[in-house]
Amino acid sequence: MEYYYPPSMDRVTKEVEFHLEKNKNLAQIFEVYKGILAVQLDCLDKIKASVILSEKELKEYFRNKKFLMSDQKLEIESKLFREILGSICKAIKKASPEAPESLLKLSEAEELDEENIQELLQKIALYNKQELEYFIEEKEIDKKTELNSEIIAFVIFMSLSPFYSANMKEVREKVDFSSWRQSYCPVCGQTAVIAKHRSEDGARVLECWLCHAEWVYPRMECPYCNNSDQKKLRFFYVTGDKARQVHVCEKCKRYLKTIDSKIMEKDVLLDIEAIATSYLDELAKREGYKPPKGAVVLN
Amino acid sequence: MKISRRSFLWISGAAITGSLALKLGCAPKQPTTEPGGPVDVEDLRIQYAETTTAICPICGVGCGILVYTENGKIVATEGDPDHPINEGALCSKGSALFNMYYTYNEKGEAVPNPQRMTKVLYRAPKSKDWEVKDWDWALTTIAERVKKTRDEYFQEKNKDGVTVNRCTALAWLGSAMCNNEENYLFQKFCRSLGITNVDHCARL
Amino acid sequence: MTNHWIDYKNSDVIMNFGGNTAENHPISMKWIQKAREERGAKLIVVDPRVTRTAAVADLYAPIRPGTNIAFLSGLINYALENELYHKEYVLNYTNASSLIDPGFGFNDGLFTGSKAAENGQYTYDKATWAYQTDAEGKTLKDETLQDPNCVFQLMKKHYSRYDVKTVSEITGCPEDKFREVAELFCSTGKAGKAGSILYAMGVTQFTHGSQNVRSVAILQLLLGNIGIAGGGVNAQRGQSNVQGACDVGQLYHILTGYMPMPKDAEKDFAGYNATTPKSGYWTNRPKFLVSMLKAWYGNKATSDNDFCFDYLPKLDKDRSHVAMYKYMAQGEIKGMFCFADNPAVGGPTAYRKREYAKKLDWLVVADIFENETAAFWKAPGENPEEIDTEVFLLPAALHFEKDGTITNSGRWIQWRYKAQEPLGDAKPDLWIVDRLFKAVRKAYEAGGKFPDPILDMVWDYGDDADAVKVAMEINGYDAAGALVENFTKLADDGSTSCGSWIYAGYYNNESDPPCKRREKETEGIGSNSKWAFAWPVNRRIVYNRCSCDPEGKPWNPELPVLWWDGSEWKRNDVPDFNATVPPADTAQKPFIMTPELQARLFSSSMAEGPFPEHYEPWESPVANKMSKIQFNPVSKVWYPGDNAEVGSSEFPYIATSYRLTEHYQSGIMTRNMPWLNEVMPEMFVEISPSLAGKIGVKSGDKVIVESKRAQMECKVAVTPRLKPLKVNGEEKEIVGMFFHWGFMGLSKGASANDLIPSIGDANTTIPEYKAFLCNIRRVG
Repeated sequence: MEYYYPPSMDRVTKEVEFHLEKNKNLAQIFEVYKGILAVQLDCLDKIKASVILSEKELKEYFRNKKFLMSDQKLEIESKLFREILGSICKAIKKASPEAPESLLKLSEAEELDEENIQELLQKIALYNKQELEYFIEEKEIDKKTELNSEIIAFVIFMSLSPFYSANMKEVREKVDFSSWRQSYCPVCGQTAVIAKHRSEDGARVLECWLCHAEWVYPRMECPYCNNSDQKKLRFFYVTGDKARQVHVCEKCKRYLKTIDSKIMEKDVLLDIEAIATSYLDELAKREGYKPPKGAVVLN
Repeated sequence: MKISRRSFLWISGAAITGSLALKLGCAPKQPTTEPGGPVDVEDLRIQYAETTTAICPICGVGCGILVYTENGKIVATEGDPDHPINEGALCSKGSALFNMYYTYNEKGEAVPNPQRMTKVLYRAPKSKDWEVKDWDWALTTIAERVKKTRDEYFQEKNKDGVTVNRCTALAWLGSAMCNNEENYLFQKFCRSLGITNVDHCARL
Repeated sequence: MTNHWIDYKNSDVIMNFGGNTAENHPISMKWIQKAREERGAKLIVVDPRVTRTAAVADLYAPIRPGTNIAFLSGLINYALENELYHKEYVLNYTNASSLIDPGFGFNDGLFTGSKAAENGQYTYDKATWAYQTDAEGKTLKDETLQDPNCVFQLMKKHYSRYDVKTVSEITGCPEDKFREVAELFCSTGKAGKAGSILYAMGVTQFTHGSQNVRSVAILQLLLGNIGIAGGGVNAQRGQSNVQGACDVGQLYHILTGYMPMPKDAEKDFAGYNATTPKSGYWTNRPKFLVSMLKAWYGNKATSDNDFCFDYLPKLDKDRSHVAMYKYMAQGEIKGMFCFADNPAVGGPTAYRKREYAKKLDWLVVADIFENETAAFWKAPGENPEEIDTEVFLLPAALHFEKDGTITNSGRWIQWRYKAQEPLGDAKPDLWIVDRLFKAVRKAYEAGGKFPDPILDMVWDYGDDADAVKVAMEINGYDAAGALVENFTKLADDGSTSCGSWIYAGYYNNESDPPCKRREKETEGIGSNSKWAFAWPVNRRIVYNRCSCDPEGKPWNPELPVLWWDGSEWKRNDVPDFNATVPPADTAQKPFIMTPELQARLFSSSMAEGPFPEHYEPWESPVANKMSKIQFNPVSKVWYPGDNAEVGSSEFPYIATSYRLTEHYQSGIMTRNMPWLNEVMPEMFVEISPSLAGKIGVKSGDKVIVESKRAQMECKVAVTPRLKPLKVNGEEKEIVGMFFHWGFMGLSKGASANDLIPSIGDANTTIPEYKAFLCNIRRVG
């Protein structure tokens, strides 16, 4: 299978421009996205990821429906992490001047120094945005850095993402994810919230927003509740744009935004589509559907 | 409902939530939608579609097909990517199946294939044309013909006195194009009537 | 198929023999390509024409239509003479060591026991085609394979006549090409190597079609290629449910699940059961029959009335397609039903199907488009005013307008869901047959000739017949009244019911019926056991005990189907043997469906003889080089004098028929699809450049093609895909014709099947579509 991560900045720019032509209002949010992505792509080579598990052991994890990070610890070099975090904050501020000034000082904050950061990274091992936000508030990091806990959590995740991606790439070189058939990522366990129908054959590919692992999930089954009753699965699209779909399950009432690359006649980057199709989330809500449980998507 | 800056939800890929976008000062300044700028979400017309799985009716490979319907009508067919044999691919006939159901008129609209049989037709002896009939008439009339022929030619015993219970004046060709459950009922029906002239295109 | 489509990927050498995978089963070609890409497998194509499958093959060998047995016998001889066969396999898994009656013999084209019969043909008394037995009836064997009467030695003797030179002269395949094929394919005779033979109508549609298939099986047994991953005798079915329609008994000679039809000679239930094989799995046949009768006659079927066995009609004689139309011509048949079948284009000597339909009092046709069979009275040249047949044409629903299953060539029974309501008054065939039955039953409630089988028949599928209800009846119920798990639970005492025993298990629970399962395999050998249901008992490769040596060690440890780990059988498929016992207990019993429990290299069940022998097609340009017997001595000649003489100067060219990728069978479906008509708009025949030169035509010219039976006019395509073949040192030209056209539909054209003879194979009566004689000339 062809993988789309990491993408080239050229491609990103082209796809963003395509959406901006239709909707200029997304300009600034895309600037922020591109700023963050540039930092992430830049540091990918600097991360030394090594996967000690053998191909056989990895397959055993997948066979048992177990994602790797459920008990494998990811080594994160704290110095590099702080560097990335600093660069990301700068990139955000540059792209969005209205962002809080204090963002620029976050990487120097005492709470993220060598000692504290290890505790923080351990919390992150829970992979739960809510947990992380509670932790931030409990430790009053938000107060001390004069930043909202949500912003801090976001920046931390964005800074961690390259570490996860580098790790995922190592895993992928040893074993593909073809035996994985879950709604959550085989590597880091995050629930997928967007999918595409691959242009080559129409297979549904889920993508992890954190490490960008891609894996195939059957079309005729709800990833969130495994409902495979064809009468209780359907999708909708905005008239005139059939390629951008919202697949819904009448059993669990969850939805999955899906880009049909066959209709589009090309494969597109899901991160960008996710931003550009926010109106579909709004429509899904209006139609009575919820985003998947456990996804880092709470507003 | 306008898409307000506040209700601008989350952006899954980059995990920028709606409220977060606000906090970072990069949320859209106006309602966001496609194409061509601000539209009220309530004004967006949506279309629901269903997908059903089917198996190609052509050759014996048994490729999987996804059939899309909207408002109860087939709108497209394509190879089933999850089917282990064809993995989303189809041949020229399999790819064209939609055309058996619908063709396009001069205006480019999909219309039911005008060649399809949609009425019961009857041709009387010596007639040059079909007549349109209804199902009730056809079923009753055919049943009468079956009974007449069977009653006239039914053989309970052969010349050696063996019970044979057959009617060789009737014949039934089933089909490799019909489902198992249909062919099963064909032959069950045949055997209840005593038909021994039973065959289908497998032998051809 | 013994194996299945995906299993092609496990082969080392694939021989496409009498099939054209790339054009007629296009999607499956990818599994051949996968074997080539991933395993370095080789593809051989043996075909009269350079098909698109041949175009990408590693090795292509031409063959004259109708000489398959000579070619395959040459391969068998090559394997025997060069000791390329799989010795341990042959010794343990086949009847090679069995001793045959010393009176058995073969002389000048005939086996012992022949007797002259009508039309210059023969019948056989098979007494000498039997095993030698001891006092207890046990077959005598010689495990050294040296006894001159053992199957192996008889075989060597029979096949030694098929040397390379002789085979080449008969088949037209150059000697060096033949040797290349033999060497490459016989390389799979080693343990751990898999060779697969894929065939289609290029093997079956001959007067000796069954013996062609047997030749394929014999070759595969010798090379140890049956029961293993990547091996097999694989019939690529041309139609989506040709397998299933046979499985559920839509044939004259069998009931459901391949149980034979009762015959006059058997007299009654006891007589029928007396024909139950004495050993092998078929000893269970009474359980399957009684369960079927219980499914049909419910509480009316009791042990006191032989479970209503006498309600079943008994078969008097051959009632197959060709025979049936002969009886129609003779006026025996008065009323006919024809569901989704179009013999007026698809049948042999098709114009006669239109002619004989005039003899019917009434004809009921159900189809999705108006086909030529229903519209025979409108055919060009007909005068409807002189035709008295009443015709009812019923509008049928299309495939995606109804629920139900179809069975692919790999025996996978797959559910197909309804997507939309039928158009207009069209109805599913299930609805039509259900309503017809109910109407007939109603007519019989007032009395009539022996109404009992109709009135007592269990028929309860709802007001609008529900495919699920029918599926559950076919699957069957156990003694407790629950859906039966599989056929091992069926009984002969009337406590269980089952519509078609081999389908038991396909719908064995309502919430998750196996035929609806959709879980693709991610690890393993490609069995995909959780995708749909393969009969029998979800087995994907039949005879799979043969995938291991007698000790239970896989011949190929890389692709293990099953293996004995020292204490139990491990599996990638459902075992086709008793897997609860150690391997030694099943070591010489891998073929549970034969009474011998071994495969038959020698079989007395065939009409022509225990070994396949080359005979020429009914119409041939040459005399039979192998013997004085020109063509299959036991084929029934339905129309004496209907064939061109041997080496006819009036019909000097060999004719054969085949299909296009863009059209389908009699064309009634595809000729009504504008997209396909645009790609392939009209009827044409193909000839070689040399024949084109001889008759003075170029591509696109109009020609008349003529056989002893009919002629047609169409365009000609001149193509190097066809080349004259050297037969007995003389060049013979081939005319290839597509058979998809008729006088109805959006695209109309001449029907090639008008030219085909109505003569069939001696075992199955499949007509000889693939080899006959014709003439071709330019129009004007």
